[in-house]
Amino acid sequence: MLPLLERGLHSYTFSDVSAAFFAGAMQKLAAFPEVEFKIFDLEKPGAEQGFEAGAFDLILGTNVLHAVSEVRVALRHIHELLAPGGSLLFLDIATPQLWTESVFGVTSGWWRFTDRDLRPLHPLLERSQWEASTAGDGI
Amino acid sequence: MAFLKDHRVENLTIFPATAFAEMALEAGVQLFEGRPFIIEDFEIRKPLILPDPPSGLLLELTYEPGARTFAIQSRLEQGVAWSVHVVGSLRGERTDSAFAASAWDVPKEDGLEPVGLGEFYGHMGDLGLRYGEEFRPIRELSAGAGRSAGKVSLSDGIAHRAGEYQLHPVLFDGALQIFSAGAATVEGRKARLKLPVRFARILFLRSPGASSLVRTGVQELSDEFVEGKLWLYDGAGKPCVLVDGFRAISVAGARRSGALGGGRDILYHVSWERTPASSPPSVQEPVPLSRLQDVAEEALEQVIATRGRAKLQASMAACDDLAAAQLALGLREMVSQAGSSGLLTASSLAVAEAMRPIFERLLASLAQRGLLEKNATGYRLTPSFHNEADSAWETLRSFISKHSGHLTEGLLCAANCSELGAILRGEKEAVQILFAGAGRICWINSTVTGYSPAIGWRQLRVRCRKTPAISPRAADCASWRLGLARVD
Repeated sequence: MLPLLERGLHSYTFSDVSAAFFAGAMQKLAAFPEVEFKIFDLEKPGAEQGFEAGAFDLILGTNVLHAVSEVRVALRHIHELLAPGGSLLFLDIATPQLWTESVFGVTSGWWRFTDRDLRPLHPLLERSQWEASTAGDGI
Repeated sequence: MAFLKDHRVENLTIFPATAFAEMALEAGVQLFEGRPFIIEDFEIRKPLILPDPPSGLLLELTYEPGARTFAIQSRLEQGVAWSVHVVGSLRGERTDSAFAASAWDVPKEDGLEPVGLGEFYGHMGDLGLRYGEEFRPIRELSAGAGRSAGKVSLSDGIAHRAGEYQLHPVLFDGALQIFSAGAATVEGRKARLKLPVRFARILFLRSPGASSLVRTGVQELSDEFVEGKLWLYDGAGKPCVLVDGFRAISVAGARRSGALGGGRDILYHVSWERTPASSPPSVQEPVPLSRLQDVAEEALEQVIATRGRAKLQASMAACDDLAAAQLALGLREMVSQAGSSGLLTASSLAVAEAMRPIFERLLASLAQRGLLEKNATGYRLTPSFHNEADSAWETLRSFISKHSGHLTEGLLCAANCSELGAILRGEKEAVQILFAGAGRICWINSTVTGYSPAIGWRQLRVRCRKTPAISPRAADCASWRLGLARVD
């Protein structure tokens, strides 16, 4: 994504729940010195973590949104950070496979979800479930 | 590299493009173990202005074997941020290129006229390139009609160290100076200083040593840039280095006094900082969800079409087959450790409370595949279960061989299942197992196909190496780099 953005016009913040991957990401994104690296825990409001509400035109995520205890709460936190008319684009695995469960399913993080009304059996959501989760909060 | 002090543009000491090139050439010689290779798309993203005194600066070249790309970056010893100066790629080259078969020759039809060295270096100084003595390696020079030829040699002061370089930066810079002399014969009188920004292709056969015969030709020319080709031979006339698509662009930061500006300023980069907006941002209309869905669907279809739907489906099915075999192997080991009669239950295998939901899901999946039979008290092993467990390593080998693009999936699965008992009993965290990669690690890209079949896959255990630290989120796996560790 970064190479497609006009330099000097946009800011870009790389976030993760811990700083563990920052050094690797900094190395990989070294050609883009304008990138900021900040810890962001989806489970908490951005404002409590030094993020400005409504400051992001675009929020991107890959295989991350399901890895929270309450998906709808995490979506609300993201919504707060989006500028009016901004977009959230994310990829997430929708259907569990035996392979997925033999690798990620045996990590404790996979089972951290508590919104069992939405996700009774496993943490993954189909697209329609994601859409229903976002529509409810006016996202 | 004391000679660097003599590479000056206006009043700044600039790390020469040719010194960056030498770093890439040294990497290429090491990587390809002396065989011919090519540097492609060598681009200078940002010049390196050396501190005064030029010390306390770290330079690093990193190479990504998968993408075959490299980057050269610098940081001050006291600093934390790396700054990227050059990017490019490296690949091996066959030796039977036309250049490799050529010998030194300057075609008479080139019609080159001798150029006085004093006159030439005076002209370059006028433009802003005030070379010190060490950076004036041209010994012979002739030029005409956009072409040039000559001889470059290192001075006595540095020639004895020529063997430490593949292509000494001063020697290469001298070759570029010869190119400039050729370009000057076709440029307008008001031409501005041009500085190197790109080498489209550098074919490296061998080092020329302390001196080189050089021939050059301009390929394209405008007010903004000049592009051309250089042939470098050693003193005996053997081909050494071919440079194609060398590009230098006009700069405004350093130019002949009185000349008009207009070129790009690459000597300085603009730093900027965010300031609060003085007016509220305009509200954009949200993109309709249906439009986003259409775009996403289209993108997905493009990806599937590119990768091949049938191939993708086959790979996904093979992933699950592999998982079944590896799980069977892991579970059989658990049964053995527990001294169980063969009836699988969470209690008989001492599965931790937190792991019971996934344990049940995994067993239900294996039952669906006919590897287990469910009864009122638990799951019984079937003959198919043992067949799958027996062939688990062969299944992994076959999976990697047939679906090499899914190597990561195969290795992650094998890593977890090799410690399945410890994970399910809650003795180990799967993430830690996936990341535990200390010891002798060989990077997959270069070694997975290099293992001798004689070693046997039973001797291999899979480890993953974290980069750089453990993350508790399974979702972070996209960032993992994997390695194979051989277990003796």
